[in-house]
Amino acid sequence: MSVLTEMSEMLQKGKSAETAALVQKALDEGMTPQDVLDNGLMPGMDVIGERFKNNDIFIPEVLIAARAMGAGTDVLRPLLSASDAADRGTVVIGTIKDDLHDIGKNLVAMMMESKGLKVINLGNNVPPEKYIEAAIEHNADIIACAALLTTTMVHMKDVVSLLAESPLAGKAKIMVGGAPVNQAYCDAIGADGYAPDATMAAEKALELMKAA
Amino acid sequence: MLVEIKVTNDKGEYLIEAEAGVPISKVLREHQLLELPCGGSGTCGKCLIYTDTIPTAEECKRLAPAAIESGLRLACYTLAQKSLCLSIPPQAKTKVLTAFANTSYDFLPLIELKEFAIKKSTIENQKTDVQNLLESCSARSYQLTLEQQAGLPSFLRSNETGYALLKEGIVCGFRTNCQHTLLAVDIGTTTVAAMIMDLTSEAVLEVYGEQNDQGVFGADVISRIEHSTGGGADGIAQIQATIVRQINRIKDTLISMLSARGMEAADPTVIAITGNTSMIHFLCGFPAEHIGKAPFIPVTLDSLECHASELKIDSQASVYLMPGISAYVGGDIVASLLAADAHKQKEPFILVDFGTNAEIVLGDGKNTYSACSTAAGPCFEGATLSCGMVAQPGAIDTIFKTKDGFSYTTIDKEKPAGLCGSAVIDCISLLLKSGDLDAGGRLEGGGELSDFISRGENGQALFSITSDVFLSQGDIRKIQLAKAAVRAGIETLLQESGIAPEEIANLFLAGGFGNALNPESAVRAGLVPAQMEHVIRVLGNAAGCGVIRYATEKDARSIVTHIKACTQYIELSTHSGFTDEFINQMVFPEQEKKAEFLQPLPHRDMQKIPEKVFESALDEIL
Repeated sequence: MSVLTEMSEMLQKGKSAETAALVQKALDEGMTPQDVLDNGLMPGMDVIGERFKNNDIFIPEVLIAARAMGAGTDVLRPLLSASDAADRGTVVIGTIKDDLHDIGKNLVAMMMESKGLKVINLGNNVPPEKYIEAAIEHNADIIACAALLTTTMVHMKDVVSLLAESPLAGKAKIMVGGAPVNQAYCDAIGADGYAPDATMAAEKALELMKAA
Repeated sequence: MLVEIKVTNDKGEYLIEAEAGVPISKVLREHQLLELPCGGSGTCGKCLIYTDTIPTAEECKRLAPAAIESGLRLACYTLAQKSLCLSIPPQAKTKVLTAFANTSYDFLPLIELKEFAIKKSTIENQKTDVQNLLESCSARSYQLTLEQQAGLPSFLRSNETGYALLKEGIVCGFRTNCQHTLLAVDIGTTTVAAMIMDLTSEAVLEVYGEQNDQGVFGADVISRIEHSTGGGADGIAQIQATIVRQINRIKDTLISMLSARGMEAADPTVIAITGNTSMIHFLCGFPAEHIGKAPFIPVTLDSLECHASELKIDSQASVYLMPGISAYVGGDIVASLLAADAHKQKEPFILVDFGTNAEIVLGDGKNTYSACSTAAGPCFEGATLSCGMVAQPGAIDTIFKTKDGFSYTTIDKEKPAGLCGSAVIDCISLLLKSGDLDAGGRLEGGGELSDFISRGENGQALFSITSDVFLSQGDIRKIQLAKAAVRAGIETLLQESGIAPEEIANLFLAGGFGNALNPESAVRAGLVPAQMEHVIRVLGNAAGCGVIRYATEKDARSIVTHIKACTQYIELSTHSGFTDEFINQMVFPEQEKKAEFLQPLPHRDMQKIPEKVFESALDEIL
């Protein structure tokens, strides 16, 4: 078994120490840090994302795998310079105003990170204007809003209208998600994309960026 | 343009008018013909109707091809159009939990019924009718509505004797009937349950319940709050009118049940009402908007006392509303605490009321309490699961291991139609024990029941209980979330109060699901801590019992005030330990040895994970 395949499997099993050791081994064998990230760690997380989407594994296993991914990237971090990493795009994410639900939104953030996206996590109870400020500051490609309550999802509309008036209008895209949200709601408020789960949200983000 | 639509249901045929092009779900709801569990947002797929429209893309996605073929459509995706005909499938009737464990207590109703001889005013002594009433029944003062006062002249002149309703010596009503009854109502989000008690004989005479009519505005509290605020200016008025109409109807039903037993049909002398905070807000016509979003602020949580007419309840009785603890721990929980004799507990106890929100209260045995509410979702009530159903006739309610596999029972021994909450937990326990479900929640088969596990259409694993009742892998994921929410709530309260699970002397379970739950299954599925398996006490309809006690127990009002004052509400959504505990509890308890990565991590370790995971690891690289 190649070191990259083994690394991917250890990551999927959530074995942090083994994953980190294999990252070191791959580097010692002469692979570039970018190669290790793209062909060892990310494919492992892709498998996790796919299995999560199919209900085959659940949130705790995803979190444990993500922890192993973190252990692997810790080894790579000092070796990767900004220019080494392909800049696939930046996402500003947060749970909307008056809503304190965090877990689902954090899963989405994590899945997006494991696809190589730069994620700015604004936390929960985020006022619409704060998404826009952060998006401008980080020159974001995507603004992702989560809502878990029908009483709070209404604020997502304000993010859409604020973006239209901002310098990022026509440039950044808005994604929406959360239990009460669906494609019809996304269309109704004029958002650019909706996804029903964390894995598909990460895929959707890549798709929106490609379309831009 | 208005169009006419023909609607048929099991009661008859109706012609209703609607604006062409609008979804007919809302029109049907306005006519109280259809319930919309998601409030009409088009997400729940429960607004099934039969019609012959061309199915929309959304309907094709949400309904099986066979269902579409049979004419089933979703009302949220069917637009009103000229000469549209549709029929609504019959809906199940509600079975309400009526039994409750009760203890004896000092009986002293809030209202006393006192017989008196009516004295007549004379030309020599021209006292007013009100003065005359006060003297006749030796009361010190009165609290009578204008309407009651207007009825006084004819009452005093056409009777020789009467009965006064006295509240601590204050006249608040009068009548000719000697019947002294309490109407006790528990307004639940799903059901409205009521009892009528004879305050003379201290016996509960009749019990009756119905599905909450507000179901047409959404199945859960949040959808209804949404309707009350977003459903136009009269949203709250509509919801208030719905619950008032239902209370009036239930009252009349109970009175006619008494008539059927040969008792005289008489207005109750006192009405006591409890319910969750949102339900009480709706009843009072209070705006509930700020309960529905952070920081979750109710108008008031105090007890309330008023005349029935003030609430438009068609009665002369005084109405007492029980106080609540927070936006999501309401008067129904206060009632349950009273029913569980919380104030008399000398050892630590926990009370859990399972519902879409599970409310949990921990008492330390020294009269201080902590309470929380955790979002379990509706799966314990049978909703959202592939074959889930409420605990109605035909629901599988228990599943157990037998020599050759497993067997089950159904409510009222009817043909199995689906799974209710208690059977869902039995199912999880059974599959964990048989080795077909791993601790991570994966239905992998390979155990003793692997013959019953197959793959469904989309490759999803299914556990078949009958030929058409099954539990899917996706269902199990929903159960994991619900179970984790409840258990993490219990663990958080234990940690906050510094009480160990083995110190809990009583675990009181309130409500229908708690009533049917098998303790052993609950422990095996990890819903409750193993140390509490043998201290589980089922309370049944605790809120109903509690509201009766509120109106009839000596000192109940001061006990309740004390409980409320000594309860600390713990908001879980901002509680630092809760999220970690919630994730920690998503796995099922281990049985024997298991693969390392599926083992629940120790709490301390899990606390680190979110930080590690959610900090932008890649961000730092880039």
